[in-house]
Amino acid sequence: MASLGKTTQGRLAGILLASVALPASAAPAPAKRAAPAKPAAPVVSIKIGPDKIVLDGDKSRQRLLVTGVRADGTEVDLTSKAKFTNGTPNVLRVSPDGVAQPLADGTGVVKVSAEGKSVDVKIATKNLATPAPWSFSNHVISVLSKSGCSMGACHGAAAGKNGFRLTLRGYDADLDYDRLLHEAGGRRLQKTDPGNSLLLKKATMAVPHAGGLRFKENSLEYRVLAQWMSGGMPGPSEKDSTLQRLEVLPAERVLTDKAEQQLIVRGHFSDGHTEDVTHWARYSSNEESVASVDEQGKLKVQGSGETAVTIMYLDKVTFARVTVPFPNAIAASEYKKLRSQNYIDGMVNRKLEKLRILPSDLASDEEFFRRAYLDAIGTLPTSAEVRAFMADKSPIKRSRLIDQLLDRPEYVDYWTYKWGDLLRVNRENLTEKGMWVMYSWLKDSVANNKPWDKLIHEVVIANGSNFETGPSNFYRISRTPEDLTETVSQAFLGIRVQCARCHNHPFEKWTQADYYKFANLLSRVNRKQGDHPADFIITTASSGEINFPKTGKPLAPAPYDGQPMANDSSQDRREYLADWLASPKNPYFVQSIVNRVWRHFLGRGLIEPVDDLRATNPASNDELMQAMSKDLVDHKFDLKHLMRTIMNSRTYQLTSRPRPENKKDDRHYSRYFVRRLTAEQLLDAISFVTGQPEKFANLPAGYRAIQLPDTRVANYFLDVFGRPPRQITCDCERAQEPNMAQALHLINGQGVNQKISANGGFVDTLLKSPKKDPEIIEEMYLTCFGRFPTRQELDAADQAIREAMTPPAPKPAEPAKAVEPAKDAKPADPKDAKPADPKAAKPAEAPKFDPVVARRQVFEDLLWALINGKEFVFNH
Amino acid sequence: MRFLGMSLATVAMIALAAPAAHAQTVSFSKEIVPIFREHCSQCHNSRQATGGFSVSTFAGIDKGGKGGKVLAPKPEDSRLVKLLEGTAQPKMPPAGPLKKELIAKIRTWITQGGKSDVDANAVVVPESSVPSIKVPVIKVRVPSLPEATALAWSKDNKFLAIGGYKVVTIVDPTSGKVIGELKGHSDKIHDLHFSPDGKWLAAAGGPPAQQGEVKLWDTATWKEGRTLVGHSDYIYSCSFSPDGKQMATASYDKTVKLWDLTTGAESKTLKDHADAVYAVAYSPDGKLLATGSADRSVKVWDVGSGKRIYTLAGHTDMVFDLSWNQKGNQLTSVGADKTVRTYNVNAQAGNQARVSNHDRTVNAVAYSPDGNMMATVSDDKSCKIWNTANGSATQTLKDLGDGLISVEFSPDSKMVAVGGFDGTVRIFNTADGKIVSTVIDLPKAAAPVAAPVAPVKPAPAKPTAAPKK
Repeated sequence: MASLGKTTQGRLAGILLASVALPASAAPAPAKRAAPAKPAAPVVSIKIGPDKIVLDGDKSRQRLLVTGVRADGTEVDLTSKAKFTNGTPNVLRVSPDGVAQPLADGTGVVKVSAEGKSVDVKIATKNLATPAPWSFSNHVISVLSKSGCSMGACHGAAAGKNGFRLTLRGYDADLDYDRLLHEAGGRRLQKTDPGNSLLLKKATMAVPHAGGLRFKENSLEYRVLAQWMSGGMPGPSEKDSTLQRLEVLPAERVLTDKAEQQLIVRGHFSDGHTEDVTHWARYSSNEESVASVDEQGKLKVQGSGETAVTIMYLDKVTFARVTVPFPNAIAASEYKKLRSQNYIDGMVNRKLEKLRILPSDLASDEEFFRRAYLDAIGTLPTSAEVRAFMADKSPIKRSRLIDQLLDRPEYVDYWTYKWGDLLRVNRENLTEKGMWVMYSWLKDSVANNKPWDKLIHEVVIANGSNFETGPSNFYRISRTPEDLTETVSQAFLGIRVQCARCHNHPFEKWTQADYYKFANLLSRVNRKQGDHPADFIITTASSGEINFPKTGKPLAPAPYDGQPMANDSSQDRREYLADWLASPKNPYFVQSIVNRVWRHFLGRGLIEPVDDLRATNPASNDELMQAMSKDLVDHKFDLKHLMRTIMNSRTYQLTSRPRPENKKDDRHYSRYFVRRLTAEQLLDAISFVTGQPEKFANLPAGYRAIQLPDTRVANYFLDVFGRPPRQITCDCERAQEPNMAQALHLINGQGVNQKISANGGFVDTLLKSPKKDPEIIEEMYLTCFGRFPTRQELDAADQAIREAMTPPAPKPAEPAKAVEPAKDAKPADPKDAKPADPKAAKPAEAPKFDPVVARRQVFEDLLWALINGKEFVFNH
Repeated sequence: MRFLGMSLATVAMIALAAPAAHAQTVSFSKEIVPIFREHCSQCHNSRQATGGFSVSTFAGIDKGGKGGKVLAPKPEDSRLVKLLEGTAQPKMPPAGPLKKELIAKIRTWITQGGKSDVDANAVVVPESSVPSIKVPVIKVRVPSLPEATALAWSKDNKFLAIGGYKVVTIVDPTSGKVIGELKGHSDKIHDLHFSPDGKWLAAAGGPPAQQGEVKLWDTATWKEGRTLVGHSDYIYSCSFSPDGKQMATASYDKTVKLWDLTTGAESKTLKDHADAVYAVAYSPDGKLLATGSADRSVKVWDVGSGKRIYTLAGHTDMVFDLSWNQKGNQLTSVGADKTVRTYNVNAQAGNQARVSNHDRTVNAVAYSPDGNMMATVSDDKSCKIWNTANGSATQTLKDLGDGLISVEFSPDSKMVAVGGFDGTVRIFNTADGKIVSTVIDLPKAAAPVAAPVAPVKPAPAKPTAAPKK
């Protein structure tokens, strides 16, 4: 396509791109609106949390959570509005914001009133006679963490700040104690004169402190430190009770716009006592746009949707879930009308109802057809396949198609490629030979639909030559117990444990000890050179430990939350790991693969990022996650079964076109979420619609991108569109973000242009066939978009062809240009294209008009416009 | 709309101009200086001058800091006002904004010309003025002793000086009897040394994060002599030059200073360390100076020129103490990396000769006067005595309290005194490791008093740690 082509392209693009965006169609009418939202129902009763309150010891405290129950059953937080009246001032005291503290053993009563209702709360108090000291591990550490002293940007940094260092968020109490008391000649604390301690003087800014004011002299923080110091600064002890779990009230709540909600956090300790740690916990909202949270655990609604609020205290985490329905008025009857094709739909719809979102309509056959091809086999359907499907009148043709797709050879190519990303099949790490061995093993596994648990089990226990046994190459990519720990955790369990290599995970429950227990399961892998110098033989070593850095000694090997191996066990540690890992009982393992497959088809994981399963990152639809996990386990990790179930759901088959009641939803599957084709899908698609296969170095002609054994086959197009290098184990390695290079490459890239205009290519072949113009146009639309062109599109194309086939008029001379009628304004009428004034200056050198060339150019331009259309580039 | 904007602007201008018109003349020395002294001088003084800005003289205020001038003809253009009002970063002072009336006063002063009513170079905020700090008194319910932070043993074997909190205790090392207590120190004592002629005892310390101090005590009368005041933080270490005429001090403020002891004046500041300097020592011939720092390095300096000659690397964490051997050809440093590193050194270069270990942070090191031994003490609660000829540990004194912080040999090298974080001081035989005496023992174990939960008392009217000028 030379310069002339470009001019035409510009014109064509103008006509076509608009309609190409997505098939023109009227947006569905909004569902029948219910009456406008009524004012909130009156509060009929109030209730107080926690249920049973025991204040144990002089240091105990408990904030009361006041919840109003409305006439319609909904609940509202009244904590900040309530009035607290102390009925037993000799037993306890209660602050205006509802914090009760004991004074003497007995039973206290607090009267709580709000919204005209009141209730008496009984509070038991005990053990006031023997004051308990503040504990370093639980309380002093909490002060330093909550006040920000030990945060990563301050003294919690590995190198500390201004010479003072603490462990990050106090994960190592022993070390913190030593440093506070001993380092720099006992600089920070004065045992005999605690008030003059530099720690307190800095935190209160009595002396200059670059970190600013952390707390005041009349604060609880100051009091805890002061009382701890005056009590002789007891250090961490094995007798300290340890935090077992956190409890949050309310754990789940539906809130309305602009509402506030106080959270109450209670810590349950090993000695059976419970502490109100609301003041000490740290809070962060996973979605600030839905709800924000302040440092005292008070939530404020910011917008509609759902979020989890992460709550961290000492080394434990939990979350509270907040749902804020969208401001759509949708009658309950609308949801009753929703249909479902399998269990997935009911669960998705329940969530949508809770959030007051309506799903879009079912996708058309064309929409579904193209999508199913791309998602299941990474390939565009041929025009013949589209025609056949459209002609098929069977009511079960969709599910029949799904079955067929999952049995196609492209399925094997495509999913081998997909899991190749996960396992980092890559010649740079494996050598070319090792890479092919691993690829072939993986491809065989996919072809045989090897159950996922079996496949991963094989990987974890793999032994043997890299040049002979495919999965053994896994141990060539990751070579240290640490690297293996992180890879296995993230790839197969969705656990990102990297942080815990150096310190306790700052926002997850994994401790550094958990990390090294796990790593010790992978500490006995031997690599020795095989017959070929580039080959390695993987074997299990009979000894070998990895030391826990804190003690310099190994910890008993144990999986996460799992039983440690017996001391005298002679079992291969990797077998022990594999048995635990690839097990139906391992929720991380099951959910991780369910989430990956779900995200592949729906465009968004139930958990995002897809490989970040955390206690504080709950699934957006727990019920669905549980159900699919159970289904997968019941079907013995048959991934095709899972795919079939997903693809047969109505949820998967919804149109991508939004309706007013789901426009803002981007995560609850109220419609099919549009996404760009992956690099490999797109390159294959362009090769397919131009009839010009890509040529890959050292691979046979006709090889498709999804058939490549690894991502180290040089190809600029694939790199530009974000093919992952397979260097790190992270789904984020694949870049789906748009960039300028992609746009330019599609619009005017050599590769694309050459494919469009190649002799023997799609356009060339069609034009040489006996097909008439409208048939050719139809063939192009079917091939590129998987659908017939609309009337409007046919007309536009037809017009462009007629225009192009009209010999160009002599160009008017320069001065005449000003009075020339605006040609571009009405290009629809070919008559207008004729010179308005025949007497205008003669054309300089009119190019010779060749109708054959012109016809070919206009069809090339049409194909170019289709390829550059959103409908082509996107999966929808 | 435009009219409204204009009229608002006019109103604002009137409002701004109004107080100035009626205000009386603001005195720089009487009204502005006290604000600077109270709120700014902790960081912006002639010693520290954070951001290059010092409020010690009007000239300094007028000159401004690294960011340029802070005064301007109009208050709204003044960087000082912007920083105080929070319209420019960083907001000042860091502790929180000044009261509005104080800012208004500064604004008025600037409007009136921002001039000084005293000589521009007159020191209005004295360098040595450390703002007195009021802190709450927190009563101790469980009796304890302050850390035995430093030890010095006089050559005539008459005195063992023990550093504590605001007090140096002088005991007779033979009888263990307390001879006297030297009071008047601002805070913890971090180092103690008798002068080479034995006439003076130097005690280093100072109020942390404020300034460093070394007090000199006359050992004949135990009267307080000169106090060297300098640095902006604790002095952790001091060293007499062998001729007794100079002193070197090392501070948390990352600098090392040399002092002329005949005048008490500061003669040089050595600034090569990137972090707190915990140790400083003259070589036996007085030509070199060795320093050890939290920046993990040991540096050797030429005393005459004040230039650094070389850096000894090896430590992987903070260096807390160092000591020369008697010949001056070896230097040993210890630190948080649990190691004891001995270097062969001369006036040109040094290299590591030997590394040995403790189980935890090593806090102090001392060579015996006869040159045959070296002693190190650690958080691991042990004191190790090493044979300097072959580097082997000849004695390991274990399980000493909460860990040890100071160590010193007797003049005849037959004994070693160790000081603990628990405040105890014990003397051991170097030959067999047997305890000779407990100079300071733990307080009799009193049962922890069960104190009720009571809010901390508010700050008393009188400062509890008012440092002496």
